Amino acid sequence: MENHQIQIKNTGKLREDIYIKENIGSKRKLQQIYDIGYFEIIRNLKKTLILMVIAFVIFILFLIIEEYQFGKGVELPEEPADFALNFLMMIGSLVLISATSYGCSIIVTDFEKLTGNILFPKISRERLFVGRFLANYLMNAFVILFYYILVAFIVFIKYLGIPKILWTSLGWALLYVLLILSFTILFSSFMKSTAGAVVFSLIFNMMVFSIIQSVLSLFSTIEPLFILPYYATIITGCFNMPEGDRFQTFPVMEGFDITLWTTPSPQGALIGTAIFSFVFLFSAYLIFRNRQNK
Amino acid sequence: MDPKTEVIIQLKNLTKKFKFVTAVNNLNLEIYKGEILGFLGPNGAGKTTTMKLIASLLHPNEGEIFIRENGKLQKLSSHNKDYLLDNIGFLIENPEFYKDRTPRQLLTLFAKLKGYPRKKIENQVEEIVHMVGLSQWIDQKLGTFSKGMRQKIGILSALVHDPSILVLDEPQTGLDPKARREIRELLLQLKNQGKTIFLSSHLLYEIAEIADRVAIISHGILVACDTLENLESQAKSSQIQVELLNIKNMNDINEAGFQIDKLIQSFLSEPIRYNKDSGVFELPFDGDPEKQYKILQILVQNEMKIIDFTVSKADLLETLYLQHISQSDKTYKEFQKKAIKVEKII
Repeated sequence: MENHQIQIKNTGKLREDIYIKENIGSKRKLQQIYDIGYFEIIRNLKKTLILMVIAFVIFILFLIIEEYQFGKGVELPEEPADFALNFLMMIGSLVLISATSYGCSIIVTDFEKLTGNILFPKISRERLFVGRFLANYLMNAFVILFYYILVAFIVFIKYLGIPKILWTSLGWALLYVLLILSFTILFSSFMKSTAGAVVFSLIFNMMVFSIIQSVLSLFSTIEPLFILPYYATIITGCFNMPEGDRFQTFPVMEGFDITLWTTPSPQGALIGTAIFSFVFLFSAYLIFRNRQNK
Repeated sequence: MDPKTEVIIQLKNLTKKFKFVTAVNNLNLEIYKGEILGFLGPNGAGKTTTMKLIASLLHPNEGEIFIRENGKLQKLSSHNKDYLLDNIGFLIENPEFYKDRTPRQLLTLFAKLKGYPRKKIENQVEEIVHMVGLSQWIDQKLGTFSKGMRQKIGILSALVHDPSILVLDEPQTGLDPKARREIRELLLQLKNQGKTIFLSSHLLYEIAEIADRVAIISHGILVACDTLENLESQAKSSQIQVELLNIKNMNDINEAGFQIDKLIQSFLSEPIRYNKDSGVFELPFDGDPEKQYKILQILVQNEMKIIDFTVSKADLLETLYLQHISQSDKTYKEFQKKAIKVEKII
């Protein structure tokens, strides 16, 4: 490995002769964002492939269940939308897995592995942040789109048509990706390691929010718009959006009811996602900007 | 203007504080075009902080940084930093890379980010990788590289957009002697191409071998900055190393030492020492070349069997370095004592 020798080769070229700066100004900024994004996509190709395999496995599992039931004489649903809905029961989990694996390393890796020492003098942190965020969002969205294409494909085979509501659901899923990705990026901005960011964002999304939601359902009828996993319910909820109340109340014991919210309204989901994503991303950026290199 | 006196980077009253520590304290420093300026100091002296300030990775609490661009020294600010820093290549501390990427991919990205003409990037990357003899590794993953090879890629990452100034923070630390020598040769080669190099290190030998001037920093304060020769004459302190034939045991050492002392005692500023590791006598004197010549003449005339007679640059630098640092430590401790007293009074 060490058989390399320095070969002195004086080209005689000075910088002034050959180097003309390109794209100073906003064009340069956009170009840098694009370059970082492109590099990030190439760098994460393997991760994207693995997540696509996971999406494919989930799809195959649902397909096996459907075929098994069909084999046992259970008929296909009349509506293609109902059939498609059967494949979307785990879409929230798929978004969570992919967003966590993409988002958690975005910032912390520069400090954990000291790659920031080589990167930051070459590009400002805001451009690096924007480029990486866009690239990771696109890859994340691509994995989810891949899953929806699989679902659309099987629905088309069974019904010779694809219901429009499936694409509406895809739109909500992509918004949910934005929300969860922003949340994981926030963890990535202040945690000391990628593993820590992954563990804590999973704990929050899978346990802490669920516990808060369960406790609240006992004592309050307030719509849990501050609970992130609640926004996942609209991905499937949009198939049968209730016309009246979006919650149901069940008596547990005398004088004690549980309130279960089925799905946020489209307006609520849109505004909530926008506000939360903005707050998470902006906070992550501020922390990133002020974080010191080792 | 003489390129050797044309200031290309100027630090004016630069101060950086971290909570209770002043990492850089009112630093004034000028870096001239085409020179290698060695930046020395013990760990925590403020070397890396100074370099991070130039790289805009940190912002100074006080003071200003000027960088020459288009013939004018321009003040570095958040508005023009992209423009001014394009002319500088940085290697800050330990360069770490994405291990699953290749030098070609990484260097191409860095060249693009720095706005190097896109059509020329491929050639430029191949050319500089060839320059350090890593052509056959250009498409290998960085995870398979040795530390020395990674360090070279680190320097190339600072160099890929062909800046005229390089700011390198301890590029030789942790490397084996062969890799250190290769990097030393690379830096000299870059200097010959007209590049200005601001190089920090605590490896005195590496600095002594290649630096045109040396700046010594301690407790964030610049304690000396000049050529090695000027520092030597200011300090009036130097050291001749003499190696004699047939010095085999303690008797030989004592006998030869006594004889040298008798012959040239009047020229020496301190008693003679014998360095067991290198097997040489160390003769401290005031650095006057006349005296150096006379010492040699006397020893030869008295048939001392001299096989080596040198003033080692590295040893000289070490002596000067230790002098400045110990003086700075004393001042710093006195200052701290006074500060504590004032605090108690308050």
